[in-house]
Amino acid sequence: MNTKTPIASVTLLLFLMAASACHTLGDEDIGPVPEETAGIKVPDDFLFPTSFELTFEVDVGHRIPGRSYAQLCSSFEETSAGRYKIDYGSCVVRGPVIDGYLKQDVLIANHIEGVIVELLQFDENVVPEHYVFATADLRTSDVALSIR
Amino acid sequence: MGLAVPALRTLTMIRILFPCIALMLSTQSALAAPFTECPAKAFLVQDTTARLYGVNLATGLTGEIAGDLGTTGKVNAVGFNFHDRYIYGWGYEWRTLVRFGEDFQLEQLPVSGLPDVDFFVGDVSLVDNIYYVYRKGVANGLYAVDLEPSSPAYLQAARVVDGATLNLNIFDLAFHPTESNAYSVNNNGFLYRIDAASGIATNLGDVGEAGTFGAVYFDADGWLYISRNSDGNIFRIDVDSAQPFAELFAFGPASGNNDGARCAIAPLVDPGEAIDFGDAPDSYGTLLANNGARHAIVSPALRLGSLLDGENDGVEPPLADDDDGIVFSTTLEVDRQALISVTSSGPGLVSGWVDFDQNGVFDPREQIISDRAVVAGDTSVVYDIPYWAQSGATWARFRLTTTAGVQPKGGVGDGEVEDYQVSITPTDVITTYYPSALGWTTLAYEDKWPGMGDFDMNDLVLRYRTATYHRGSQVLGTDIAGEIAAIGAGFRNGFAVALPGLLRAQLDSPSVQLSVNGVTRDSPIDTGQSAAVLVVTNDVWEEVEREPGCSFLRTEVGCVAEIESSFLLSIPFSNPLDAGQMPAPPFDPFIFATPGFDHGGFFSSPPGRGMEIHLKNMAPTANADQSYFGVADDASNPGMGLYYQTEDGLAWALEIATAWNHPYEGGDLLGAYPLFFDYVQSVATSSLDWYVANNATLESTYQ
Repeated sequence: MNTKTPIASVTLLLFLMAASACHTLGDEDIGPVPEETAGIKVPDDFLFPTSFELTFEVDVGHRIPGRSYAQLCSSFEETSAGRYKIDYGSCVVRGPVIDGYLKQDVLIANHIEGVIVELLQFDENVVPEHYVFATADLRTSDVALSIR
Repeated sequence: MGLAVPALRTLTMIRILFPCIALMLSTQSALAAPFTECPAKAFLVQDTTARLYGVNLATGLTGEIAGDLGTTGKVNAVGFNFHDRYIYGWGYEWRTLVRFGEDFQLEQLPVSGLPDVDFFVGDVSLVDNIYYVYRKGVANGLYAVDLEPSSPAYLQAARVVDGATLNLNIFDLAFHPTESNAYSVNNNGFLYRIDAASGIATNLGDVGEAGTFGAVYFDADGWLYISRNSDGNIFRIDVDSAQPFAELFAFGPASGNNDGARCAIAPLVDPGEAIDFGDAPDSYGTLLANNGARHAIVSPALRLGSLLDGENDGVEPPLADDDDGIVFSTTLEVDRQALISVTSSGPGLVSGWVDFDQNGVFDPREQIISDRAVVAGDTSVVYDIPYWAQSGATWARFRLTTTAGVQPKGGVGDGEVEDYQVSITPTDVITTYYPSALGWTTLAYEDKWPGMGDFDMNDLVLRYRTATYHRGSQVLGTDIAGEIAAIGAGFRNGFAVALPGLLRAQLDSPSVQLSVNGVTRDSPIDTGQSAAVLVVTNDVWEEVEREPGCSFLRTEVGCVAEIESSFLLSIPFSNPLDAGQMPAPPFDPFIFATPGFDHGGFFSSPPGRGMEIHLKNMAPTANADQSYFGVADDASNPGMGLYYQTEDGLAWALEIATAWNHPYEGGDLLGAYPLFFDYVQSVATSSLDWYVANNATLESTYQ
């Protein structure tokens, strides 16, 4: 039975990619709060993004050389210490980890506060591994999360 | 001989006359009250000291009704007499006819004209008020006992045929609800129709099941049910079929020294009775008439998950969903293993099927779990997807019960059945979803382009999501699902999706499919241009019904119609794309003017496909008339890649990554979502969740 802590058990890299528009309006562009939407001014390349892009990478070949399964989801609850129940309808990526590796770009809605990574093995006796992240950390940092 | 209304031949007439007959008979006996109704349950008498049980033929659920019938002997050859609502039978203790009513105490009825033997085969005709008993052997035979109290021949038996002429190894018989014929199945599995008037038996063929069928019943629809003593299996037979066969219908009680009786005009299930049925399309066996999967609800209920509802019959989708006991922990890939988690309320056996070949039935080779023992809580189960499974949407069924050997169809006395629509992907496919597998993003359009409009952003509101299928560094295809959430437009608009950068030739055109409300439509591919463009509808108003008293759909206070139109676009590619070629979701969803309809004063004639409205800075398709750019409030500049925006950078279309509550008709976006200003002022660095319900002005947004 695999009950290793997340820190010790897996290499998982999550990279934040920049939101589509990161510049700000100059003060000279900002007037009083308009009463209607028609009074708003925005840059011509501002696309009103409501999600941000994330690169999801799993690299566990050093300890799970065969086939496993990973998913990144946003709706979950901790049922007991380290045990989670996940609403798979909230997943943004689901798929096999082949030869220990998976990498996909995904979009995460802005209002999502936290995400969970689940790593499964096709063995009924192996407990799923779970890793929880706050999206605020993912959105504002450009740090690769490396979990070993 | 018999009832005063011998012309009774139809069930309808029987049902109409039942109360009258009951009233006539109500003064004839003061010994024991008859049953007050024609019960749906079957009665089973068994044991050497007779005990009475009730059997629900739909589920096999059995319970003792009376442990003491007032005899120390057996009772057999029982039959429910529709005419007086007593159950008649043969009492071994006194070797005579007996009957009982709702007090379940036997009353002896001396009969003349019968041989000095015991009978274990008998029933009461529904057409004539006559009890028939049978015993093989030349000295015996088939006898008719008149049960009509006003008849001169009351309780006199007459032999219809001798037991050498009618020589059958049968252990019960049952009268058809509308015929004067009785039916039974012999120990070798041959179905016989017995003409009660002549005693002539006709062999109707081998039904495929042999054994001692000690209890035989009919229901109001003319189905014959036979219960096998050795294993309790209840089989159903269509006696009118040219090739009748015994279909396993439910798991009842194994028994001996038994006989069955039932009011044959009763429906199989009482109207108020609650049984758990499946919810898949009926081709999988869902409705009772099709021997749909069903479980008796007992207390405490053995169930999958926490929800369990009771119905009187199965319900085909769409439906209110109580299926929460199976979690598909992984997707289903052809020729690979998959995982599910089963949540059970207690110890039981789980079986499961997936329609891998998508032929609309659960075949024996499609059983993925067979009588897997589970306990209370969650159990992980690994199963195999066969190499021959077909990619695409299909159905799965799971059954939890304490009975071993259940099949995809049929009844059982406890537990629950749950049906799920599932999707099978090709081998080694990773699926990415936007905004999530079952979540929605929202597309909100203003349609007065090139005029600015009122920014209530509800002229068309669509729920929308995508699923994209990757294998390695390639993309195999994508699915787009959507729902029409609101229409606040007087103009007529169509809806389409372009896949930026892709050509029509890159689509696997014959396999591209559009279904609306589950019904497949003509190919959605826009053949009028070389780009990959898919038209969902030319007119969204054609997809919905306007609620009475409402000018629009779900944009006005008090107009609360349910969402009724959904679509699914399945878009496989002819050859896998390099991942870099694949556009990001939500791709390029856009609206266009419905051809032939006026679209406001900026157009001298109906603009049709020439008028498109895309998300900001998404380029139009080749169908768009670019001469409209720069007209009125539009400040598009194709040379700079700027499209569908005003001079101030505002858009005619927004994509909002949740199931968004749009503003009411005529309400302004900023009034409904005050944080929108901070969001745009900061250029999406603060108030990032301006669009969630908690940040909305409740009175301004459609809930």
